[in-house]
Amino acid sequence: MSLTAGQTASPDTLPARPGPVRVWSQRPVYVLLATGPALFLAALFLLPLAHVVVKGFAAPASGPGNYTRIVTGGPYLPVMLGTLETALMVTAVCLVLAYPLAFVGSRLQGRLYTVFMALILIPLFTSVVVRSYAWMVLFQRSGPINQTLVTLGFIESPIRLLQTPFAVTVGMVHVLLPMMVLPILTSMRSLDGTLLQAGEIMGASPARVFVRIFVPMTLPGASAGIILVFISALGFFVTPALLGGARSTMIAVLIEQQAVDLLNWPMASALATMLLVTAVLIYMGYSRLTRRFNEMRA
Amino acid sequence: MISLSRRSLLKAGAAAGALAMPAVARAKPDHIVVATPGGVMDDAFEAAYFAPFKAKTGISVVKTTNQYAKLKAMVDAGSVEWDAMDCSGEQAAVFSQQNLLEPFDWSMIDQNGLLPGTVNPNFTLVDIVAGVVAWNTSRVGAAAAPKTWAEVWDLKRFQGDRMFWKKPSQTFEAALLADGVAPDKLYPLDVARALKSLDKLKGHISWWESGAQSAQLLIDGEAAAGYAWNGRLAGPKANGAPVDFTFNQAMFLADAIVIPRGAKNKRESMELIAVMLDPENQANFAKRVPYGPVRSKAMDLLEPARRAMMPTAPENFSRGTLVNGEWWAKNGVDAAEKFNSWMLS
Repeated sequence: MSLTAGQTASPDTLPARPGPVRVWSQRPVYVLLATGPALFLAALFLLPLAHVVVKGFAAPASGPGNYTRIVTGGPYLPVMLGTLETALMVTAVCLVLAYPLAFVGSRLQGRLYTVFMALILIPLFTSVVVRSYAWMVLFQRSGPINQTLVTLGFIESPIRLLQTPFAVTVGMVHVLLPMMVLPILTSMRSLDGTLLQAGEIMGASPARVFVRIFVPMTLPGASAGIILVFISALGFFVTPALLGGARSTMIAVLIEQQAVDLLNWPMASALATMLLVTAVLIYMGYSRLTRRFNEMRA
Repeated sequence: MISLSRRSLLKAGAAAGALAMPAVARAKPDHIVVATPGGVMDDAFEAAYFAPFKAKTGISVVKTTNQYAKLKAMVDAGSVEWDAMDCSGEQAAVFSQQNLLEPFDWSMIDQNGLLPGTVNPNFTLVDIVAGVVAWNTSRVGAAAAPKTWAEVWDLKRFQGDRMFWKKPSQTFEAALLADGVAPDKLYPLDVARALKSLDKLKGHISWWESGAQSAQLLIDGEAAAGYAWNGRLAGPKANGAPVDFTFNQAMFLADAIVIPRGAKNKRESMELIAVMLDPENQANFAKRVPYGPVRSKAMDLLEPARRAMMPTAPENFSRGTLVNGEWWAKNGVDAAEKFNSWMLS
């Protein structure tokens, strides 16, 4: 991919030269640069991954036994669907929160911008376990949220907040929000402001400028954020395990159970493969969709 | 054969008294690697077992985290870095069933006065944990305090969530005891009956994922009563937290020591296990962590107050049931599947 990008980029930026130039060709350099990482990935990522996929078919008997078990009953498919649902919900909430947040951030300059970035980034450096425990304290019946609601008279007695899908969504949004904010922020800050001015000069209302120019121009950022958050959410483990109740079981929890508690690695491999294939299919569908959308706009 | 002659050589050396350790066929390692659970347990292991082992043999113990899956990965790959590992008794049974362990050389260990169930072909139990009926004393009055699982199940007895481990193991046992199954008739577990019993608590359960979380749920009153391990509550209770528990209808679980198949220093690991099962060291461990010794003589070395906190003190041990790791090793996969499906229902 980087090869083709490099090749197509050079004719645009470099002045055309007469005849082929053999003084310095980029191709061998790119190949050389790519070899190391490619070997690294092949040996330490693709090979073990292939091993996992094969293992799912290898035992207890060779064949699709584990997959038959997954699709014919048990908790596996419902948990997978629940995982997709949770990931979708988390992604939607992240998008709704991150877009205005990134907009504010994109208007800031100097020290204020530094503070803004620090506020977005610092949570990334805090352990997910610690953050989940913090939410447990906030959400419990004797916690500040329940106390406040009771004091203000919204509820008569503390309600169950912990171990609900609500708690899981809040906890996951808290963890994943930066991954939505950052790409959107980047696209907003790199937006050419003169385009907006041009729109205004041509007589468009601010709302129209926003909808017709600003939003479409920042869509690639949002699109990157959506896919980052969604795919990460699919594999979430700690937050749903600690904040979720009986029905918030995510597929990663089942995989961990099979791999660590039961040492049933073939089943763990089959479940992991199912998760991977689901994620890849969704990614492919999504990228096709965005490509189609871009073509339509162009 | 070689090890036999070496042992008789050692015995001869010991008999001779002041003789230095004879040079043996294989060089003695200066350290062995033991996988441990971390936290308070590690401190107690270090003080009660690893330090005396070092004093006795000159071999130091390097600790590492006991990730269960890693043991299987290392044995499967034929590259075992660990010489021994601490794990739950149930897990030891799973490892054993999957042929991941070295057989024990029990001839190296005095088996007198060991708790029944301690001695297994390829693992030993080293201390006993009690899973107990626990409650929050500010949410549940003294009169309503539950003494049995049936009373925990009784939603009219007191208000508030009941808490359990988010796993089928131990939760099923509690559910069956609550439903009136006699402790000695628990195994083989009637999974369908356990789930039916759990149905009665649907919507009133707070699940915990880790021991620390169980203590938190109960101390904060998020749950009014339920299941927890005694070691997680003894400290808070002594420090005045509003929690209490009873050994009545307790479920006894064990810490086990295993030697991964292909471990490099098996002999030294067996020596360490002998040190861990020494009465005095067992007592020193029990003074630090309220998990019961498996060596009855160790019990005599404890103060009466401390002794009363021990799951294996006879008056406590007789009131509960030992969790059957073997049953779980055989039926764990199916049980987990049914439990997870029930959770979603």
